[in-house]
Amino acid sequence: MTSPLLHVDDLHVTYSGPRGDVHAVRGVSLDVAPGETVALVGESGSGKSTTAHAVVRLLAPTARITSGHVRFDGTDLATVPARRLRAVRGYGIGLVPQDPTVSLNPVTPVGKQVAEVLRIHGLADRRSAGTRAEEALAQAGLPDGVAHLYPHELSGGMRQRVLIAVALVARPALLIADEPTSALDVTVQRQILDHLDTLTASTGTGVLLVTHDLGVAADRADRIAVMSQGRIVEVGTPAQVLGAPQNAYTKALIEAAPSLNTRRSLVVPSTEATSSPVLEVRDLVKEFPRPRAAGGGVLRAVDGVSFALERGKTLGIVGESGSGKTTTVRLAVRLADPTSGTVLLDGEDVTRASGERLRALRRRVQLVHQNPYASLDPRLSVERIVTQPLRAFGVGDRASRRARAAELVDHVALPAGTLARRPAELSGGQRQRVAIARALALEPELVVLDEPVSALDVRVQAQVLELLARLQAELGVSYLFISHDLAVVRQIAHDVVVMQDGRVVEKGPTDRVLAEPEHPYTRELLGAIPGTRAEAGVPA
Amino acid sequence: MTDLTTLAPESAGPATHDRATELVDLVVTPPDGARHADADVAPRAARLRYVLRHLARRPGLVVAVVWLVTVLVAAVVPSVVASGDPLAGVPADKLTGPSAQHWFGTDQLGRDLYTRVVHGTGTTLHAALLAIAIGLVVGSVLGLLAGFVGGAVDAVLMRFADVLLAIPGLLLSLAVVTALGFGTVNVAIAVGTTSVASVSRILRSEVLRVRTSAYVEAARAGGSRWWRVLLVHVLPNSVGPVLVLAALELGTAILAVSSLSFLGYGAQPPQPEWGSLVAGGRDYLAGQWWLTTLPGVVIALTVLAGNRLARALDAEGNPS
Amino acid sequence: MLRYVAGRLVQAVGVLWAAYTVSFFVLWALPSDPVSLLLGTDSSDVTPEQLAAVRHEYGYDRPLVVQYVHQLGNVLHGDLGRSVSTREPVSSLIGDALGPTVQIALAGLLLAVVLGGGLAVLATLVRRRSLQALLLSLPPLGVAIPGFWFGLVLLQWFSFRLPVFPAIGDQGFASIVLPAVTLALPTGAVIAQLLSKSLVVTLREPYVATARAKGASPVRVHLRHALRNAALPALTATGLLVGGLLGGTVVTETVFSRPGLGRLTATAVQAQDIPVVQGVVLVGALVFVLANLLVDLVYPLLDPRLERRRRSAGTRAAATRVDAVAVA
Repeated sequence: MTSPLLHVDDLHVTYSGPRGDVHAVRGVSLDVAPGETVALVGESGSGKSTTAHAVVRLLAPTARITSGHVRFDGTDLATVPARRLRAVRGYGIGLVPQDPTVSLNPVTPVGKQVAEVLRIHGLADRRSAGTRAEEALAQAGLPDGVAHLYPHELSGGMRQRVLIAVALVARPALLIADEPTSALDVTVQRQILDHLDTLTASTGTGVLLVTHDLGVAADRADRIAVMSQGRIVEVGTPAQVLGAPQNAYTKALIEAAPSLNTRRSLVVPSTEATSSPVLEVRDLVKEFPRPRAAGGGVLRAVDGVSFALERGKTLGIVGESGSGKTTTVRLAVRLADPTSGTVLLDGEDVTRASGERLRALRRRVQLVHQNPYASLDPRLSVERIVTQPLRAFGVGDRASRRARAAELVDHVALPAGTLARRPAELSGGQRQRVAIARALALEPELVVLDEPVSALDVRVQAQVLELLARLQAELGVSYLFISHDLAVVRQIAHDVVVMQDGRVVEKGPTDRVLAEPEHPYTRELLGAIPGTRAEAGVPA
Repeated sequence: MTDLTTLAPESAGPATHDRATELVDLVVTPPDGARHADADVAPRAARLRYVLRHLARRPGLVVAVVWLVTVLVAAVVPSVVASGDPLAGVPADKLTGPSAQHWFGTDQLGRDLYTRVVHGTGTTLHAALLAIAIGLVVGSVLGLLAGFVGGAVDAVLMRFADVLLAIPGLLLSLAVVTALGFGTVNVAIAVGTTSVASVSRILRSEVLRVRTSAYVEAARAGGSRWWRVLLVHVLPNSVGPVLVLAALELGTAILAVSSLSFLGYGAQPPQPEWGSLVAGGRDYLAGQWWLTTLPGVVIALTVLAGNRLARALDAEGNPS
Repeated sequence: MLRYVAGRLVQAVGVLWAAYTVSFFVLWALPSDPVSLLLGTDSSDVTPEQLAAVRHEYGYDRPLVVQYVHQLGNVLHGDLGRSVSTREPVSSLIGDALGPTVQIALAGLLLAVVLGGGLAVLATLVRRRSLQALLLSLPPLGVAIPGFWFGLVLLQWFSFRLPVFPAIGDQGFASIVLPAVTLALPTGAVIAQLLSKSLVVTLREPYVATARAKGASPVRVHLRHALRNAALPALTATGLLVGGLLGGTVVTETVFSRPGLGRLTATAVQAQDIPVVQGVVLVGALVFVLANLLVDLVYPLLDPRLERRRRSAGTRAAATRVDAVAVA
């Protein structure tokens, strides 16, 4: 092996906080060779992002490198004076940040933001910097004329391309990409990563790619480093790491990743051959008035959507942001009123139900939100949260509610001690379990799950999905399951509805739709699932 | 380009909590495990110890609280802090500087300035607290109504608040004083009027924030009636910022009340009051510095202490 | 853009009208009788007939709503009525008083923006923790100091002990300095507080990290990236503070015995001269509306995101916050 471009040696990073120091990175050693792509994979809190940022010392004010070396281009970046470090940032090492929607200065045209790198490092004068910035934007795959636009005039994907241009315009030898696509839709993610591959391959740039997604790592990297609890637990080529993982943690991670395990299914076998639909919607339409600034008129967020969910089964609704899937579900559970169309619950028309009839409906249909950090009242104990629907309907007395709370918490596999806790004391997965327990309190026929696992780490995600499947088998409850992730839906749904731009483009049994997709958009979604390239190499 | 859309009516699809949790979840634990297993409800002694340690790291806050308690005692039982008679002067001792006998010196009638400042505390504080109470009660009712009822009620109330905000606070107070006449209570009403608009705005925006939060929607979807949502979720989660504002308003109200008394619209002589005490020293600026300086210092310190406490409450409310 | 400006103008006129209406009903509907005040507190030697004659002369015997419509019509023609105590037209009283007040108010605003803004930038830029803590502790102190007291202390030191500036009156530039400093203290302190808070928040934004990753120096990051974004809420706040500055002149002009709008107000309140007080309130609202109109017109130049809806919501949020820290 030639001498590495980047050589990280026994790096330690500590965050000092009110509850004492947190040792986030504990002796990480890592090499990136010229032209090589190394993926740093781990769950939240594994220290992967901190490691990447420590390379250029762009850490939070409370964090500091306590020991170790970061050798790049003959200097140790961990100890080099700030002035010399600044000469490396942007020029020697480019950085693509995590969330493109907030990583560009909102009051400056994007072309200027790209050109600034050249100006800072004295690589161009004002005029030539502008020209080279336009070239860089074009190379990043942006159309002509975007240079004078402001960030808010661009979509998320386009902003990420601008940030790629910022990172690459000075032709750095190393690129650090920190979850560059986790805020983007899967189809956009694929385009961006493809483009990044092409650009870095043509210039021989080394890449340190930070990601939580083993599938992305498997598709894109020459080598994968798996991080857990501040340490690198396994390093190897994608074939080695995915094909023959040595470390128990790596194995668990691969086991849990939905995109890498197409054969794993949690779908509850249905007992009856056919049954009447518990929920049916027909020709649902929802229009929103468009803001005057955007030209006025109306926006058809949901455009003639029909589907039926059979009792005791799971219907998955898949789509990217803006597809109208969340709005559809809000209409179906009557949290919003449709412009036109019909909602049938157990064959009964509830489209215009209000007052006590609507409350009766609430009792039979419950909702689990996407974000378990926001959907629990921060001031209440878990016991009160879980028993809230009971109180709302005046079910039972104090003692019986208390008993029911204990039972529910046990149902979702949380320890009984959780009852006295407040949401802030729980992890994301625990919170989502509490939300599920609350939804089950009234023994509803239908539970609507709005992206229930997308905020969770992959192993927690797998646990929550297993829990949902078990509860369905035990209680016979029906699920309406919304997700942007086809791989997750594949694991849990009997039937699937694919939505794009407010319309249903394809629906049917999950096996059929995923095996023989008819609509081009479904095929595009399937192809964009990360890990598909690597999947061939994974033994069953 | 498939990603050329800037209009996204739905909330961002794929969640990006990784970034948020990356920093928060740095405490490394097995996933979904009981991270805060040790965070059991703290026994009383432990909590007390925590509060004490918290205070020990904030000496400024301790000084502020001690000062405010002293001021409060002076307002309720002034004779404990200064035993003399604020109205009785010893003409022989007139206009003497601060000394061991007269801490703040004496005025042109030989009255002890320290005693007068202490006995004036009640008047000033009473007016300030009354002003806050007026602003808080009226503002809260309006804000709650606007935020929870919404629609036309909201529009009308908030336009009204806009107008109140458009009239400079002191001018609005002066208009009210002109209409009502002079005196401590009228000054308090005048000052209270100026905070109605801001209190109602803050409570309204809080109510709106909480009302549209996911946990209120969850309660609604769970079948809770509107009054249950209001009592259990909306109110307890919205009052925090209003209480912080009330604490902040204490300083503002003391300044406004003493400004109006300085101008001569509040307590009438010989009754002592902080603002009018400063005004009383105006004729002796050249020779007797203490007559204006010391009462002013007391006002400034009290406002400073009140604001420090408000900031501490604010930080307690949003520990970010 | 033209539609935007026109819309804002209509809105401004609406606010003015509403402010006039509110002050009219506060001043005329509440229990006070300008006529008996006019004739002296000792009104026992005035016959009811005389009282009624004066009432009729001023039109106070007509129903309140009729008076309101009548007066509003006069205001539209520039007639603000006559002072009850001096019988002079309110508009000429205000016109004469405006000049000296505008001088100290503008000087005070300039000082406040320069010193407050400078302090905020410096405090967030310095790296020494102790120096930063010291600088950041100044604005809360400035907010807590009563304006009238600060003016008197300035007088004591700079007019009596060290006779640098004249103690009273309106004698050219030297006499502006102390009143302007007095006015600038609370305003500057609020600006410094808001801007430094806003800077601290902005410096944590991911786009600031992007700028650092480009290799930008701390000063460049601060001035090119953070300041312009952080200045936006501070600019809105400054527009709102201008009204408060006008209120501050009441105290300041009293302390420095200067002629001007503030003095006129103080005297009018003392004499319960309702037409003058109402005229001053209207001027106050006008200044507030104009300052905010100016800010609204400058804002799009600084912020390309012309989202008016969110922007006006932001103004209101800022208004309440400024109100919470602003001093009378």
